[in-house]
Amino acid sequence: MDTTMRSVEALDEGYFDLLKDKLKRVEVDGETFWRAESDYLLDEDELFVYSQQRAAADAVQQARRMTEQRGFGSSTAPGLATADARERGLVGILRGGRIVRWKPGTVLTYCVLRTTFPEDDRYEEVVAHMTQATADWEGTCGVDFAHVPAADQSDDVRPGGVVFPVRHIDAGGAFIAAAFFPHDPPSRRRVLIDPSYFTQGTFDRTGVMRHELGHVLGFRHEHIRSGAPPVCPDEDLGDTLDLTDYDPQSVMHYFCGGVGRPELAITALDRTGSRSVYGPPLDDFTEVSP
Amino acid sequence: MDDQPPDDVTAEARWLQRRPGLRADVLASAEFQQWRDRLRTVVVDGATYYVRGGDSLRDEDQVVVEWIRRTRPALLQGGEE
Repeated sequence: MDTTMRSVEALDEGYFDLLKDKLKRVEVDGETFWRAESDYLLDEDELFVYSQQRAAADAVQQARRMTEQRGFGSSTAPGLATADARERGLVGILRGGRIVRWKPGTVLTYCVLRTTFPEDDRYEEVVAHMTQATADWEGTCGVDFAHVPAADQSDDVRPGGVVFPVRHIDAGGAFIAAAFFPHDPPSRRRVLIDPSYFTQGTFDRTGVMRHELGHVLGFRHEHIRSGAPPVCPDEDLGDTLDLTDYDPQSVMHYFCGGVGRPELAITALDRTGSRSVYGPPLDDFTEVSP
Repeated sequence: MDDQPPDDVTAEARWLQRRPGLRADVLASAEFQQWRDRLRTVVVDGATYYVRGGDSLRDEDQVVVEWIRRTRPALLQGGEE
C-alpha cells in the first residue's frame, strides 16, 4: 500500500498518526513494527488498516451514543453497518465430516498441578479461576467438569485419574495459556499457563480459562472467520464448521481490530452454538431411570 | 466421533505416514523452512511445539499439514500426491 492510496482511502489519518506516536515501536531484523493489543506486531501498512478499523468502530460507538442520547436515529447507517457488532457464534471442528465432541456422559476430570506453580497463591488463584470457568460452561451447555484435588499433589506431569492436568510452565511469554482439542492425542491433553497469565493486563483471567476450556470442548477461534477484522490473527481454517453466525463478542474471539471483549464472557450465541453440539445444561433435566 | 479414544498420534501424523515422500518434499522446501522458522516455538516436556493462533501448540507434522493446506490444498482433498 503506498502513501498516496492511504491519503485517498483514509477515514481518519490523524488517528493513524496518533497510533504511530502512541504505540510502542519495535525493530525486528531492521524492519519497524508497532505493538498493538499486547501481542500483535503490525508493520506500517497493517497499522494503517488497523487505525482505520479502530476509527470506524469508534465512529459506530459515537453514533450509538448519540442515538441513545437523542432518542432517535440509527447507528447502523450505510457505511457504518459493516462495523456494527450486530452479527453474532462459534466455530466447531470436523473429522470425517462429523462434528468433534466429547462422548455423552463424559466427565471432564482435571487437576491443577500444585508442584508446577512457583507460589501457592498462584496455584490457588488458578484453582479458583478453573472452578468458575468450568461452572460457567456447565451452566451454558451439557458438559460436566470435575476437579480431582487429590491429583493436584502429583509430581507426574501426566497424572492418572484425570482427563487433563492444568500446569504452570514458563513458555517465555509465547502464550498466556494454551489448551488442546478433544481429538488431540491423550498425551497432549493439558492446559498450560505461562507466567504472563498473572501479569498481563488485557484479559480477565477467569475469562482466559473460559476461552481455553472452549478449545477443550472443541471450539475454534471465532476471529478466524471471514467476518472478523483482517488485523485479527490468521489461522488454518481446515476442517471447521460454523455453528452460528460470526460473533465479535464471543468467548472464543481475541481482542483484536476493535472487537472482542477482554472479559471473554460467554455470549448468547456462544450458548446457541455450544448447545447445538452438547445440548442444554445437564442441570436442566429431571432424569428418570427406566 | 468414534467411541474409542484417539491413538497417541495426531491425525496429521497418520496422514503423513501414508505419504512419506510428500512430508520429505515439504520439509526440504526452502519456502516451508522460511515460514516455519518465523513461527514461535516452545519446549514442553522435551518436545518442541510451534505456537499457532496464540494458544495452540502444534508439532512438526501438524505445521507440515498446515503448510500443505495453505499452499497445495488439493492434496488434502484426496487429490494428486
